[in-house]
Amino acid sequence: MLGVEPDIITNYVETGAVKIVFWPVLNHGDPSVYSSLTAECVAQQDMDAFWQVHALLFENQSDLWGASRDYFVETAVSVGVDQATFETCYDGASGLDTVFVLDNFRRQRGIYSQPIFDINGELLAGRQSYELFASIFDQVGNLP
Amino acid sequence: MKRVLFLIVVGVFVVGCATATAVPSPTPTLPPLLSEPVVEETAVPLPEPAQPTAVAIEAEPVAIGATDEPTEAAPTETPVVEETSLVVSGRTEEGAYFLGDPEAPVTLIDYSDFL
Repeated sequence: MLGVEPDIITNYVETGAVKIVFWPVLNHGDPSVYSSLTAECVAQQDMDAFWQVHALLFENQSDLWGASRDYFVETAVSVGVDQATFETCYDGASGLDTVFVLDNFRRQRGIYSQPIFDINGELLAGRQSYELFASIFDQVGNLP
Repeated sequence: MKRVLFLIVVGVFVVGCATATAVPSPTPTLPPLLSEPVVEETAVPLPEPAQPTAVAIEAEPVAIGATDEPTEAAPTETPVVEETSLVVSGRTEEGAYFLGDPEAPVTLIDYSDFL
């Protein structure tokens, strides 16, 4: 997501009001797959590092279309994970299986486009303003 | 003859003492009891205790075995309150990635493609 995500994290996640769940969607072929695979293989080593690489991938979204394997390895290593372990995952099957399982899950839920936001069951399609997110958070969460 | 008279006098004396009515010795009389003072049940306000006045006492700390060398004040340790972070990262049951308090009242699922 990025965009308004840092503000949501500061104002709602860090206060305990909101929990964010990132669900990867593979709608753009191999670049989507390898990007999500990079995030998954980082997550297998360190969940905190996952959120760092999650932000990096979205910040450099324009680079992902033609990104090579080395690009993704360098991106993963930059957030502190072990390179050899990452490469084993990236080149293996377990990470890929997880990515495709998650993708199948969202299709079964009827999610075909992106971004789609599910806030306590209420669906929003497309990018939204921070104010709208905040309004919905406050409403559905009965936040003060 | 005189001896007889002496004996007669002594006898008379003795008899006289024996027949004298006993005069009871006066019993010591106790001084009359003082009457209990009558206390009127009226509230007598007790004087308010004097408010302690703060008196700054400037006492130089004296260490045992202190010498004339100047001593430095011991550093006071401020308690460190460790704040527990509500932000945790982990996986959902399905394997997706979450950030935040697992018990948060609001869950935002972001279905997104990195591209």
